[in-house]
Amino acid sequence: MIRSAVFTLLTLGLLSGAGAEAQSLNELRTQLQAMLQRSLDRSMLGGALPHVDLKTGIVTRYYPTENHEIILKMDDIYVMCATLVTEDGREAPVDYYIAQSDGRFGIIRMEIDNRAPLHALMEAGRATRLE
Amino acid sequence: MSETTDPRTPTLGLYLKLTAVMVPTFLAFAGAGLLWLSEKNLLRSEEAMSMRIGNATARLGGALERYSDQSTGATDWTAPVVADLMQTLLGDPAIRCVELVDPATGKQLAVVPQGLGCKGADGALTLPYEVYSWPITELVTRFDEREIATVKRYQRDFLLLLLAGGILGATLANWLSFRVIVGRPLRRLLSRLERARAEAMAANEAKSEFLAKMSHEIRTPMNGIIGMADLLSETPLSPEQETYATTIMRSGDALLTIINDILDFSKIEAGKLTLAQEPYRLREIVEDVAQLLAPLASRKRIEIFAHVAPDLPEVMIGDAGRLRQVLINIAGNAVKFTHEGHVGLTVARGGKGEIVISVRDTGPGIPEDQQARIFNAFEQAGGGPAHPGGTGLGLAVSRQLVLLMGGRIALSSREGRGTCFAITLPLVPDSAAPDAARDAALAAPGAAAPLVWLLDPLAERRAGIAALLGHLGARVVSGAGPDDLTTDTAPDLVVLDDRAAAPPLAARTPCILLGSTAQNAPAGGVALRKPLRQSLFLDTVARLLGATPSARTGPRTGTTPGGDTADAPASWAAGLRVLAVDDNATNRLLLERYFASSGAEVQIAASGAEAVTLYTERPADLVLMDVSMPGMDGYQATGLIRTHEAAQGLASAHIVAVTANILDQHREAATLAGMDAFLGKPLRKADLVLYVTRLCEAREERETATERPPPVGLGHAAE
Repeated sequence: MIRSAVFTLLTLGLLSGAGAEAQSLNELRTQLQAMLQRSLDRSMLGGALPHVDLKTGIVTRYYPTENHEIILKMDDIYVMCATLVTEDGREAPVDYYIAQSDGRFGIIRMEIDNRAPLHALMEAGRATRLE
Repeated sequence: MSETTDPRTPTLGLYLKLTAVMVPTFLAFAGAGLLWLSEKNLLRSEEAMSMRIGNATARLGGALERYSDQSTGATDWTAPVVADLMQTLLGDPAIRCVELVDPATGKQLAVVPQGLGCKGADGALTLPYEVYSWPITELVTRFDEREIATVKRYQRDFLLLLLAGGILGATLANWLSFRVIVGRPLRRLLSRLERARAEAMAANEAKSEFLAKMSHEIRTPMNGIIGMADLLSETPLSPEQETYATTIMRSGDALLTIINDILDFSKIEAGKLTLAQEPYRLREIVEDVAQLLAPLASRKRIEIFAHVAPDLPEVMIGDAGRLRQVLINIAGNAVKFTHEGHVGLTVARGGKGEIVISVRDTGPGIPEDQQARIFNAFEQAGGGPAHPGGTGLGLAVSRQLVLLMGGRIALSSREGRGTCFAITLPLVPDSAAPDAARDAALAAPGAAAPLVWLLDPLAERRAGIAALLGHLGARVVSGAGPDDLTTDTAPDLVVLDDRAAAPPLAARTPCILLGSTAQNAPAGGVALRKPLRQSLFLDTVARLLGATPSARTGPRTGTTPGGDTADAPASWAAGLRVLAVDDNATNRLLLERYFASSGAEVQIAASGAEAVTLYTERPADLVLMDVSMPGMDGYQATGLIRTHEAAQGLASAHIVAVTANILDQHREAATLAGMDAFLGKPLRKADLVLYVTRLCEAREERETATERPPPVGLGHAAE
């Protein structure tokens, strides 16, 4: 009986704490999403994101199709993702690594069609979901 | 069908018990799982909402920047197009209002919904977005989490519905599965167990019946063998012939012991043995056992004694017969195995509400590796060529009987140092009985305590006698011999064992000489035979000290086995009309011989019908009725005799069942048939003489005082 009561209280406490934290998290998420959208808008040339493959020298035009709602956190770095599509219809993921300075967010690195680093960070437990 | 095979109750009961465990477990696990899922789902909802609002705000910001870029001077934020652009955000249900603010002054430049503005949205979340216009402005989107709350509510309802549905569905499904998976095998198992139980009970019944029949079949010829040997020993015999007759009787006794042990063991195993709860005198039982074993101990030249602590209640409640059986078995073993020294039976208080009866001997002891199994059935210590023999059932039966009495039995033994069996029993005193043994002190009130010298080389016995005399107010100086005495004061009484040297005494000093054999009384004293009976000893002490002997010899408990087997007095049944009935010719001859020269008028019948005829022609005072007879059995014959007595107004004859069927149910059947008492076969002449003598005494008492109630214990004595 006592155990059940303690368990219930702990659960309620955790849930209420999670609710209070969610308010600020939602504001943070909207800011990050807005920043990402602004960045995409400003990076596009003719509605596309041109990308140069430094090994082959090939320039590929990527068109944004959707932003992902999931945001990852790695220490002070946020990671956001979107899906791009080439002219021939091939989909490619893009990962944005975002840092904050003086209340402003800025993209510090972008990986197009290169998920391996992010997967490695996730598997190592460095990058976790923002929640 | 018995309760255990009810096809519904076991499975339902089991299932309800399982459910009581399973449902909370299911709720805990399912609830935790669903809560986790809903939290993840909620997270996705929050993330989706954030993305939607963020993207929309950024796109609006981009549009406003492009609008600003088209202006030549400062941007006119009051233009309708600005409001129209901002209005597009209000399509999102989470967004409460959108405003454009001058970051330098905080002045609101535009707001939608127009007219209402951000009234009522003070607690809403805000998303500030810097618009790179000229001049720079800030777009603030205010939104709330009503849709998250709605999602939460939907999820909670869904969760509860899922849990309730899950429990209901799982309960029903589990019940059906349980009935099929567990219920059917369980019912089959129960049925098999029930059948096995019935078969085992039937087999046990058959075994009991077989044992009862075998007991009867063996006892009937044994009656002839032992009885005839008994009669033979009364005739003039040569020493060699006397040895043969004695051997026949002892062998018969041994065989009877074996039969009784087997019957008792069988009854205990079947749970059919019940114990009587009646008053008995523990001291008399212990002394009786010592008396019974005294002849054997005397032949082996070992001492046997009994001592009951004087502070114990005189009368207790319990089954005296079974306690006597246990003590005879254990003390009998002690005497059998002890070749020199002594066997002592002592009773003292144990723990709270307990008494401890110790049977201690100076025999060879029991090896340690055999002590653990000594109480097992058919197990015996030793077993070498010198082993006295037996079935090994005696101790097993004794242990079971002690357990049934609510007690326990313990063994301690060292090889070469002797053995001690300690029987611990609940102390149940008979509060209604007077305590006669403790009321009479040996010294008159106000007089000096008498001084008693006690000389006995056997320390344990000496301590017991000293404790008894001390308890009654005497000063006791004791020792193994005269040299041990620590006083020169002349004693008032000397108690002297025949193995101790006599001290120098004044001629007038009274003395009690304790002897193993008949002794000449010393001058001014008395000779008593060992083992002592406390009541006789104390009366003698009191008499010699000049005190008033008390009525220490109260009513006796049952018979004294072997203790009153004095030679039969001549004419021990003078004037008694006896009708003896038995279908066995040997037994008829035996009864005829038993009553020869008894002074009784004896008629002999060979069947129930003949007995009734003879009784009708000439009524008898005593009928010794065999029970199992072809044709009319003893019960039927008794019934007809009772009917005839009632019809003719005759005094009731004393009818005694004399039978080899000695189980409790046979005793009950005899009582129900109208019989007065019960004597088991083999019937010894000594037992018959004792019984008839007591019957005659009771008859005489009744005749002299017809209104006096019949003597208590007559029927009891017969059993």
